[in-house]
Amino acid sequence: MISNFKNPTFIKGFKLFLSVFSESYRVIALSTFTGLIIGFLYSTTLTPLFSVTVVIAPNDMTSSQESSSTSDVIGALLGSRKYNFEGGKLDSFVQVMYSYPTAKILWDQGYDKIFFASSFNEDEGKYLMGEFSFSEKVNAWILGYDVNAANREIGPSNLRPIIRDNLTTKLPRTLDSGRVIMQTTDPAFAGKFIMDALLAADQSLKEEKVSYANSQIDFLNNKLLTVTDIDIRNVLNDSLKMQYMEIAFASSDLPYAIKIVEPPVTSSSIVSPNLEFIYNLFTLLGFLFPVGILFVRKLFNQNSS
Amino acid sequence: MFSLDSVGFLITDFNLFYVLSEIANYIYILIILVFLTSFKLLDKDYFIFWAFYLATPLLVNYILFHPSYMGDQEAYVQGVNDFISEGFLSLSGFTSQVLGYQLKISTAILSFVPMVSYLSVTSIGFINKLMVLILLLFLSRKIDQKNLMYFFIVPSFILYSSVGLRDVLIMVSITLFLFSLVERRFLTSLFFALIVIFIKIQLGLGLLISWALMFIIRADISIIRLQIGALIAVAAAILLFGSYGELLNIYRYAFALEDCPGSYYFCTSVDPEALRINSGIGLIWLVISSVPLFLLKPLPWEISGIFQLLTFIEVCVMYYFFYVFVIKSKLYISNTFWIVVTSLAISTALLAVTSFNLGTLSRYRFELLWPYLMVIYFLYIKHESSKEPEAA
Repeated sequence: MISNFKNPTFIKGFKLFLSVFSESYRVIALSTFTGLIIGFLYSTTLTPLFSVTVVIAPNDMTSSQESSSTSDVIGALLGSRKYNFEGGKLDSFVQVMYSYPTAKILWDQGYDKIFFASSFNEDEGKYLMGEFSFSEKVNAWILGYDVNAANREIGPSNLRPIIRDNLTTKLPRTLDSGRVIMQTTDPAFAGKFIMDALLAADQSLKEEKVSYANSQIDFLNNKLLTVTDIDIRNVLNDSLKMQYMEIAFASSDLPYAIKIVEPPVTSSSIVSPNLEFIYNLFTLLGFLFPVGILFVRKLFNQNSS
Repeated sequence: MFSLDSVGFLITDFNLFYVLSEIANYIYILIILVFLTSFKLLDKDYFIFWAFYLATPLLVNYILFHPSYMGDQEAYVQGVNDFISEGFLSLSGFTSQVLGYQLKISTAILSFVPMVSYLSVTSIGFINKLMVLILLLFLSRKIDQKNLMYFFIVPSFILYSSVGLRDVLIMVSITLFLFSLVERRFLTSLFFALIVIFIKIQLGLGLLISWALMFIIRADISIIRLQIGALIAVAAAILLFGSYGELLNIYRYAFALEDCPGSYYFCTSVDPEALRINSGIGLIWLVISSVPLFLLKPLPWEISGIFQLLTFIEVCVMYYFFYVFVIKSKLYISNTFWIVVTSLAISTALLAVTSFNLGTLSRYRFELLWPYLMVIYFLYIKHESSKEPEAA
């Protein structure tokens, strides 16, 4: 392979490509500059965004039903944070934050008016999606179904993708805490929205826990009626006390699954758009396009000659 | 050039930045292709074909399917960017992970491939394409480019070389190992065998054994040596089971969990004890019973969907060409061929006992079969050309 660099074909080819630069340097320079100008014009259309960050950590008060030995084995297999014990708790919490119950709580808190105000239909008194698009009508016509049969009402399930798209999470492998981040033009609103979403997810977990503990209490009370052995009754009574304690914890106003380590903090400068990246990318493309085309053209000219 | 470290974000959606960044990657690869063609390292007649071939990453993610269809791609793009920003520090703790280290080593190697942008899953696809181009360059010195094209247009090869996974790295490393082995290059072959050991131990073990057969036992000069070597390998697999059995069982468990409806964390239907292999004899029996299924899955009556049908047809066509190259030219009389087959058999056995999910099985099987088909074709050409003077 190294001998190729010394052979005449290689040297000839290399000189040929250098000649592309010497012959067409004006075109390449102009195109590169045009790329930069397009990048600049594009960047003026972008909206500057700040980031708002909240740091959270798992709350040690909660008990875990997970088997640490299982998570140790899987963690060893995959080496991923999500199978780490503490990380697993935060990952589960984030899943709850993106779930329907959390969206429902936020919806009831008034976020329906914030995100869907323009879709409110005063005649029907509910939020409705806009008119059917042309493609939806054509699809319905082709497949032969009634387009009006589709559910057009906007509800908490439509809030879910908004939460998912706006709130990103970073759960580093090496830390027990995680960050919930939102990029926004309105940091005050973002801070409130993140906190409300976190508390709603926590509330949702609490309700789930209370509901589960209540069903356990019902089950244990029924068992107590049928069991006569004093030792077994003692065990059942201990279990009952545990469930009542869980309900007490989950019914308080204190954070349940997570604690807020750091309240909303707004970035000191904008985080998006990255102007350096945009200008570099557009300039580079402005350079690569003519060079690519000229090289290919040179190759075919060389071929034909 | 553009990475998470320098830009501050990864591109996870189909947007303007994604399109521009990947077009920049494509033009960069195209310019390399122009150089290689102009310097007569590649044939000019096939320039247009390769120019289109190298563009396939643009058509797979977000066009043919969403990147989440092959969800591992996200881990690879993150891993490559972690290595670019943190260097070797990103590898810390990898020795404590049984499977996770393979991803880290693979992404570390991928990050050394120069590319314009490393920001999306398709960028890793272009890294794979560049490696394919390097492999093509290597192979074109040994095999006619027109015939090479048939190997490169196998649908699975086009697919895996267009997505952000490590399959191409594995296939390129195995191919380079096998060619170095049959050309008796002691150090080069050892180097590529070690790379495969680090990025995919299931396939690397067979390569290392074939390397030992070629360079230590010198099985290429006598079939008796090969048979003794193979017997020693089987005896060692049975007698030393205690030293590697636990690791093998962990692999079986991990891949079974991958195939479980509840996946890793919520799976309730996979019993580790039911999967456990308890002895070397048990392993041999399991290999004998599972290899035929591994080689043919999905069986015709299991096929559901066009992709599975294509997979089945593709693998049958590959077996047919194995048959053509081996049987019709009587390649089986060559000792070198049997050394290659020994490593293929060991790798097949290891994959067969650790594969459960059909998608994973098809992927792993293809990345095993393709390099072997390539090298067997090379042996076939050499064998045929050596017969020509006799015929004359």
